[in-house]
Amino acid sequence: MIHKLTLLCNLAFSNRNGEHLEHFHSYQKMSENDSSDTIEVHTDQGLFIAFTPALISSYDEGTGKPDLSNPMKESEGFFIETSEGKTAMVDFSSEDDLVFMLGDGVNQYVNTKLNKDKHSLSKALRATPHAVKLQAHGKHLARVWYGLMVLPPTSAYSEADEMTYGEIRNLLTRTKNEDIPVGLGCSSTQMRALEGGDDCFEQGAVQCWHRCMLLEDYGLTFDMCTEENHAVKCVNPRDQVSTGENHGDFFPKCTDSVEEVTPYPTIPSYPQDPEVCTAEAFDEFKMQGEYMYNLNLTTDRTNADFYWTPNKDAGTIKGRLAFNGQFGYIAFGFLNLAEDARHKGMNGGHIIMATPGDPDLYSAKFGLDVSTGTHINEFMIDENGSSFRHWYTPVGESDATVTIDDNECFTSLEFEINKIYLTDIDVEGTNIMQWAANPVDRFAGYHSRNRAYFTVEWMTGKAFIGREEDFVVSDETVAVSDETEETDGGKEPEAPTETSGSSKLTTSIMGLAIAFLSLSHVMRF
Amino acid sequence: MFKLSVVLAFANMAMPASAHIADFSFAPERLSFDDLKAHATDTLLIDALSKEGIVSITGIPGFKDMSRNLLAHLHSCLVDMDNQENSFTSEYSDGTVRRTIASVTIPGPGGARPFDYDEESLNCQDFSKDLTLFRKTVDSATEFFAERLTLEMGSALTRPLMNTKDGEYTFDEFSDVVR
Repeated sequence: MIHKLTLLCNLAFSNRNGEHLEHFHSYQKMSENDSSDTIEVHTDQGLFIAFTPALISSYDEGTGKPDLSNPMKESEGFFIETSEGKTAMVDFSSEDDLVFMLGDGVNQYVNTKLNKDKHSLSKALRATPHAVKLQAHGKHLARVWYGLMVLPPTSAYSEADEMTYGEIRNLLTRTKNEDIPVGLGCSSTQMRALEGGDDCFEQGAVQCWHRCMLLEDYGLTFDMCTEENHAVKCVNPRDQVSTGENHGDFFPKCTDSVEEVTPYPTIPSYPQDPEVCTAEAFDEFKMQGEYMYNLNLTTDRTNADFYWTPNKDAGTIKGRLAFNGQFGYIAFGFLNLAEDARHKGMNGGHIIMATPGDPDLYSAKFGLDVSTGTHINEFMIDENGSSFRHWYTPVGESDATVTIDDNECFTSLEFEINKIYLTDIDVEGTNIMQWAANPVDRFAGYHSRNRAYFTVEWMTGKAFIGREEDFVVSDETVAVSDETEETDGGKEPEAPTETSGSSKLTTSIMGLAIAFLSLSHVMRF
Repeated sequence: MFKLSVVLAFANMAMPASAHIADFSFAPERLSFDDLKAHATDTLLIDALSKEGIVSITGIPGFKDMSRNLLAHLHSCLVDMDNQENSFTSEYSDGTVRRTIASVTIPGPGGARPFDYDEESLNCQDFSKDLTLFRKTVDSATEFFAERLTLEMGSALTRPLMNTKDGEYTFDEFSDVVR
């Protein structure tokens, strides 16, 4: 019998702490028992499942081989309950379908976030109740199926359950079915339950940064740590131990540390004094110097501006990145346009970065040593490791300068460049740039939302947050005249602008830009 | 979109009340992979998902042969793995026996953990020939699905959709939650 029988809210067969669970199933029904469904009506708890429609395959009992002379055919027996409350057998007529079916996750954290206007509410998604009922067949047949279930991030917090989804899954996995609180992890109190599964240990891994991290990826084994009289723990570079649910720079390590995770020590003057670091003061700070063009990099999470003046003859850009935040670090540079670049091109980018300490003496455990003074260098962000500890060795010096206002409220980076490391400025063309800053600490561990990538046509002053391919023309598209939308030195756009040859602009470009900025929520320098 | 051909033959099968009797058959809305990837202005995806919650993507390059080759060898592979630790066998109350092999994909490089099949089994070797490409294809289609749905949702959703307990990180969009 199935352990912990799947009831109405089926999380997954094998809960492995990851976000995407994959299963290949082979079903065989030789008995004529038709008294019940094979799998009762339920709604998956995940966000959705992608699956191949089940096929009936033939199998030679003698050789144990598939009987390839007998073509596979679509299996019947998959039912849904329609929105009209009727039971329908699903007909997957195509031979190459990949089916996406929504789970209860859309009720929990998508539909609850719909705006209350009629148009938005019309986009409410439906979780599909479904069931499987198989008919008896010969032993030489099997119903074969593949599915990939997308679960909510383990570190995401469920306000309804007052715990993270990872905690919910752990609880469900380790708790007897009858002891599971009704409604836990589901949109309805009528829904619950899942089947149990493996844990990280069985995979030779530990729970770390909301995933099972394989020890072998870090040159470790459980035995190795045991021989050293250490335990395998999930730690950050400061040897602080995580339960595995923390976001950030965590990895498995043999250690005896019992220190709990704490935030990085902040800059001594952090946070800004709101009485002094006013919007007006920032306006005054950021306007210093004369520049031809400006792109407002401000979003709902950060406040920054980029100014520049192109010099076609010299092939250079004189630029200034002004940031409404204290000086943990500030960085500006090129996005890595390689197709396989991680984090939307952040990784592998060539940048100028100002740090309040010598990067060569950087320690992920102790941060930047401010007694060594401000340093400005060129770096190449590691192609795989985002944390500064992976790429803190400069690849070149920089003539850029950093300005911090007298009240330690704001930071800016000024430079005149024709290239950064190996990437040239295309003064007569367009470049896709990125920026980031940390106003909180001196560990260069994160930038939170103080970052973006943006497109700049240097000579014309046309610029916008994001890249051209990020923006699509939707039914909300309107035409906006170039006069009102293009950026120039005399205006500060309220929203990023789309400035290609097309005059089509989306009314929600800012929203889209923010959306794309948010795609890599764990991006960090 | 409903296919109104009533499946009378199935519906007339003698089954107790608890078992399922179909009122009719249903064909999910189908969307081509090219349309899924296109930055189109229509709302085909959200229309289907709002109505019934299910949509079928067709025309994924190479997917048909890949999936069929793989699934054709699945059962033989799983039978070869009977009684091994890395396969799971369950029996349902109606007598159905299910064999399973499972894995997980987590974010980041190397995120797709390998399926722990029996590498010495010839059937499993045949099963696994296209497995990596198959998983990448599904992963890619899943990402396109999430991005397309995010775009079709437009400004209908408030942000963020989810956040961590300390509020330090947010999952602003549908695609943030998926990837």
